[in-house]
Amino acid sequence: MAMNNVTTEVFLARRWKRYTSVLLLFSVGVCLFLVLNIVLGSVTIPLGDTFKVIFGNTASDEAYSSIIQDIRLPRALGALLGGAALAVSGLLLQVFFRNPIVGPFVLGISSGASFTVALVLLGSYLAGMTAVSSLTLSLAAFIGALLVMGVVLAVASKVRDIITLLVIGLMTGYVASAASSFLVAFAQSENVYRFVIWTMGSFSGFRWDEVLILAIACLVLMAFSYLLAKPLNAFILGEDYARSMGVNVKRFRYMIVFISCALAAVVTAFAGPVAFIGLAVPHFARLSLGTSDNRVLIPASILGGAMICSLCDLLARMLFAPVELPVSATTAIFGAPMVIFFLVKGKTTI
Amino acid sequence: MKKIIISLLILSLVIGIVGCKNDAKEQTSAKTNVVYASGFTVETLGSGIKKLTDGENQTFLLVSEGNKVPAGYENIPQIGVPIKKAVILSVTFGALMRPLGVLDSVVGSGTVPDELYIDEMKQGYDSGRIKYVGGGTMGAPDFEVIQLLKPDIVFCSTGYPDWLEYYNKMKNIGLNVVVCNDYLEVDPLARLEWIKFIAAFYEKDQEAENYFTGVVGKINDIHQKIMVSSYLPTVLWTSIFMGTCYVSNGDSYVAKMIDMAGGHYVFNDLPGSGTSSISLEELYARGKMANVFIYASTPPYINSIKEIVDGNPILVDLPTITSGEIYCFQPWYFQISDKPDELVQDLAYIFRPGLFPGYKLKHFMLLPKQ
Amino acid sequence: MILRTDKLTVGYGKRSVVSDINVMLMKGQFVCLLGPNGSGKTTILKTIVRMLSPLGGEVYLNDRKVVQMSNQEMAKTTAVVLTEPVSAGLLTAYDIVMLGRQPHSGLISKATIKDREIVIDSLNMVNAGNVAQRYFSELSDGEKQKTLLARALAQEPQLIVLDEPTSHLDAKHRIEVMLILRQLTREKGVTVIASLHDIDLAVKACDVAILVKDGYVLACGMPEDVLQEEMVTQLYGMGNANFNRHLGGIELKSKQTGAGIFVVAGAGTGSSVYRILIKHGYTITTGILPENDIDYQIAESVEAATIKSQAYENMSHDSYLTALKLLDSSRQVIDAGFPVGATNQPNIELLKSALKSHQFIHSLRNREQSERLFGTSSNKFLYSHDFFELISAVKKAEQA
Repeated sequence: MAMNNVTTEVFLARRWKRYTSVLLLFSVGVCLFLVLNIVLGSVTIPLGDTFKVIFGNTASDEAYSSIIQDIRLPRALGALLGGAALAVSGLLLQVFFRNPIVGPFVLGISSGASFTVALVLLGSYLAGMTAVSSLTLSLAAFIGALLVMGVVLAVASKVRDIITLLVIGLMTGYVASAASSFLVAFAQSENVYRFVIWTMGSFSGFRWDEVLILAIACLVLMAFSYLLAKPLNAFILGEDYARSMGVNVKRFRYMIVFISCALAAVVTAFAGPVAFIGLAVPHFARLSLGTSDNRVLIPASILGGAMICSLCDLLARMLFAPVELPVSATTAIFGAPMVIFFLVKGKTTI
Repeated sequence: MKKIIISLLILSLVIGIVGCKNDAKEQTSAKTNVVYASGFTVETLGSGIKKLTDGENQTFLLVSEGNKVPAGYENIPQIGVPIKKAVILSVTFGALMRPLGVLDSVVGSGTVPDELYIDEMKQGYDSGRIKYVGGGTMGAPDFEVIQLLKPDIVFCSTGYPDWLEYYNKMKNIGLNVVVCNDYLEVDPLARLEWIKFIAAFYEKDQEAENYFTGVVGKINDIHQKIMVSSYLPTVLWTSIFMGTCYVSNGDSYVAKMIDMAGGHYVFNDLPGSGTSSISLEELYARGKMANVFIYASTPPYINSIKEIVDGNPILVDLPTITSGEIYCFQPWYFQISDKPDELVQDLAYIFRPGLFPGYKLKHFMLLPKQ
Repeated sequence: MILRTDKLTVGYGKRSVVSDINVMLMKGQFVCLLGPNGSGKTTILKTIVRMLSPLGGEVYLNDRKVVQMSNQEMAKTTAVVLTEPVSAGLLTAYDIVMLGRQPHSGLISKATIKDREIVIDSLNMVNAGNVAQRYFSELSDGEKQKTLLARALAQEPQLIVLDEPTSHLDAKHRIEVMLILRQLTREKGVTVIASLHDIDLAVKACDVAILVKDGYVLACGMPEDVLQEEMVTQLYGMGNANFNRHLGGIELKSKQTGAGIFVVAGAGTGSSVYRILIKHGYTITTGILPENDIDYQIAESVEAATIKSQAYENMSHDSYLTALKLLDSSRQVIDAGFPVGATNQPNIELLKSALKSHQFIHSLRNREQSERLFGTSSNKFLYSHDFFELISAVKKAEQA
């Protein structure tokens, strides 16, 4: 039975319609949760005032403007960008390793970041250092993540088998975790408590300067990853086929590892390790779209990650207001059942 | 003949009355008066014998030298008092020992000398009498070192699951371990009242009672002074870490202290006696109403107001920040369980400085602007 | 000339697998690489497409050294189809084939009309047009392989390299793929080089056969020239079978250990009988077969003891006598039901003699013809209608 132009057109048009609907739906979700994150909070602000502040006018109470502009808005944007970055990072690694059960932290990024944070938080008193500002902590986390990324990149081109890379990343992660535990054993309980809370991730305290850095990093890295969408598609068939189609596999390995680690590192630096988003959202996007084509999967992951992470942060803030949950608690409640569902239905695939 | 019988009757009557009175006296002094604390009981069974239950509801018989254990109590574990050598795994026990003057009995401590602010204990380390045994912060104490010291008693706490394990371990290896859970008490006076528990081991029950009554009296005096003023200051008490704000709940030790000192704690509506993490915006909203801001930490973990503002720029609007009056703890803040009166006095001064002119803060300090 | 190797040595690390390869392939040739497992066929192919570096020598593609070509250049001239099964996520067959267009399109350009047309053509060419819209993971092995082939086609290569493309396929798809490849070479002028295990298909479909064994290229040339019986047997080290190039196939050898059976056959009637008897382990003697008879070819390949006579000549008296002697030493005799004509009367005499001397004599011939040929003695035949009856009768006779 031959295929002809007409049936192809119909088939492609049908697919395209599905893609655009899904992307549109996700966009609506993103906007919805963004708005909710601005409108809702432990302090009740009347809607009218909220809109006044957003459109640049002054509200009835000056406290309201401060809360909306300096607390809620940067945090909402932080959660949005952070979720998008983590989702893309997870997607890239899933395709690269041809393994559906990897997330952005599979190469040990979060363990590396936790280690340097532990070093700074728990070890600083040993050195008699003074108090640690959040900038120092963000920098420490970022450096720790980069160190692990450096190790993985150094090895990336030398190993013949990608699975070796995965194992090395896992082992690096374990080493970093062990080192953190070591530090925990010697630290004061107050700092340990704080460190433990940090490892659960939180978008609270996002400042505008942090949002700016995150936004720029996301923009650059995500654009870069979109340029790699086609070789990434070729990669779905495996390294050998990708190479035969002209992909410079060695360079490609570097770039993918770099982009996904950088995305994960920058989010972890500001928000601590946020679990599950990077693992679950790509699957969610894949199943919604019905394809593994990364040219549409990357945008869908960006939007899906932004949407779901915003929702999770909203829940973390509002469920027991004014008490806040760490965001990994809510992402786990969403993410874990999702992943289990996919696994059970046999719908995990790259 | 009649006279002799009447005299004998009157004599026996007198003896009987006197005897009964004495019995009544003995019965009322049987249990030590423990008003605030709920974690322990001390009961006098006879001269030189006391029955004591500790923080884990274990019963002990404290037997004074040369006394016999009364019938029926042979099965209860005995400890000879006064004890000569003690190992204390928490620095708060040291603070409670301070007014009793028994710190020279300490041969092992769970706190390193660099983090100690109790002079007698620092001297004890210097002279080599006190050995560091670990177990004060994270991780287990060194059981072997403790055993080598051959202490008469080990004071430990069981507030955390790990510590319960260490407690059991020490019991297993044959040490005399008693649980002093002063830190689990919520009322500051209840925490101090454990001084009576410790005093029982040193036969200094009366000193403890006196000291305790004295402190209660001082706090009452402060109370009288502040009752005069109808002004009620609003108090913010928190520490902030990476945008998450940690506050004590409404029934916590912190809340009670603020109340005792005549302040209104902004978070006294939060249920429970533990701590919660709340959103920055909530802190901001309530903090705006506060007249007093106490940052719940000590240098080097917090060094200036600028640090607070840099980490959370929105707080720059708070009146207390603009006025530049933020207090924090002195480094020895956690080692003054024996001086709740001074804490209350400090707070009373912070809340209403006008009432205490010329007063110098002992355990709090103002944060420098830079 | 498309592909040339010059003293090429291939292998892994320090270990060389095949050395000193010197072959030259032309445009539009269908080349097969034959050899036993582990002989290095895959290594050679991978070296040609730069998946492995050569240990020595050079590979030239269109007179350019392959090691000097850029990835893009290579991708535009060469495409591969590998043996390993591929998992493709949620991509459709169409998507997979469209991947083949990547070397010809930019990083962010969308698929053009031309791209689409080429994809459609490629799919149609491999007869996979009907599965285009389905998910690759849901296709059968045959359909998957054809899709991957279509993907290779979409690259518009001058050379397609396939590593055991038919290993996982059923007979129908195996033939289909070979036909598609041949069509490619004829109609599109693409050069195809594939490592294969099917000698019979290779002989019939390919233009060039390269035989690889023991670290060297044993031969390189047209299959008709190169694939002689001894060469093939040597190549595969087959002890239990023979390759017959006239038949273009393999025959299993007789073990020569079972009871002896004499088969009188000709004109193809003997082939199935030989094969059945061999399957059940009997030793076969057969004759008289002229050299131009197909049963002769098969008898030789199965290594039955054959009494032969010259092609296109009448059967000689000598051969008759030889046959008679051997007839006596076999316990059972089978008349395969061969057509009777002017040149094979001696075979009828043989059977007449057997009827007199042997107890167990089977026949596949119909009774009427038997009676006409042998008269009343034909009653002695143990008739069988089909081969099942035949082998049952033979076995029963053996017991007696």
